[in-house]
Amino acid sequence: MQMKINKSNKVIFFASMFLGIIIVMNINFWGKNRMLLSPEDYSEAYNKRNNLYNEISHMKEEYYNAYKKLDIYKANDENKYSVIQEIQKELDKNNLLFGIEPVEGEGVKIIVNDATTGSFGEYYDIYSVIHDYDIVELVNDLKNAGAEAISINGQRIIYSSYSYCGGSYINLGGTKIVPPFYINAIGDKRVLKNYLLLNNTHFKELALRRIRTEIYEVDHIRIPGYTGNTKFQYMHETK
Amino acid sequence: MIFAIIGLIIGIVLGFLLNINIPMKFSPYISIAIIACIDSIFGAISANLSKTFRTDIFISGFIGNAILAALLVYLGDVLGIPIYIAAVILFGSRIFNNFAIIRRLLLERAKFNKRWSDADEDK
Repeated sequence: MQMKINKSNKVIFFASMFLGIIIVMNINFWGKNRMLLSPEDYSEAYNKRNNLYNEISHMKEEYYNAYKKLDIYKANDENKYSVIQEIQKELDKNNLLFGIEPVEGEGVKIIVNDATTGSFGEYYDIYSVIHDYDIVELVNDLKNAGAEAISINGQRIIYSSYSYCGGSYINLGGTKIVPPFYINAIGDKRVLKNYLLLNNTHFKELALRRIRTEIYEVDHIRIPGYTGNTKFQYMHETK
Repeated sequence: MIFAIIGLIIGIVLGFLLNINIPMKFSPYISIAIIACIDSIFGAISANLSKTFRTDIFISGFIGNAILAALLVYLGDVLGIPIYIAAVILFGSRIFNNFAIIRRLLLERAKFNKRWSDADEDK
């Protein structure tokens, strides 16, 4: 029997071919590990995968930077000046990370001051004044919100900063500070402000205790470097 | 009919060779689109056999039905009602109807051919 290849047959042929392709695309013949997920599970898995991808790309970037640095050191073996320059650059970066260098950028200015009166029908009590732990909590709030540099009354907060209550003053890393506390933080100004104004932050809790709080978004803040002791007694580099 | 089967086989082989995977997210949409395409192809075969095939109608139906069916799945997803069942029932019944028409036409044609060959032998 002779088959006629007319236009309709051609169209049906190509349509069937397309159908075959999408069937194979949709059905897994290779037996790969496929499972059906609910939309919630799917989005969770999707987010997890994205995070892992991010991590991988971050690691790749780090690897690339380290490799580049090594390359520069190797290439400039004779040219000591540029090696020194590279080392200086890295030292500057470490100083920035450590908090020794003064920094500037956009952020928020916060002013907190002891309450003027007690709550309605109550006496002026310990909750009406700012304590050391309030400062710690505030710093924690700011760090949660992504603050990159923080200073309180001109004192830079670094990894080893501490505060304790010394009666009428607060000892912040060895410096006595008294209210009002001017807290400057560098970071995304809107994020910082909005985060602090959320209901479950310590900043909000202070306001409930009648402590006077103010927060301003600022386009340019300068935060001084840490000037205190940077000597370590017990901590040593690993070999 | 034979062209459709050959096309399908070639398509399946091509699909294996290309090895493209659709994200799982779109799987339900593609599944319903496949049913719509099967319906269109069955319709085309029956129209071809009964000499009423029109390319423009086929192509618009082939693409349009697939898109509409996928949209119904999406709408059902958004509203929380399985609207795609409407498409599955409709396409399913049409596939069987068209298959019945194709069957009848092919059987009649076979009978007709047999009669002709018998008549030739008698001569």
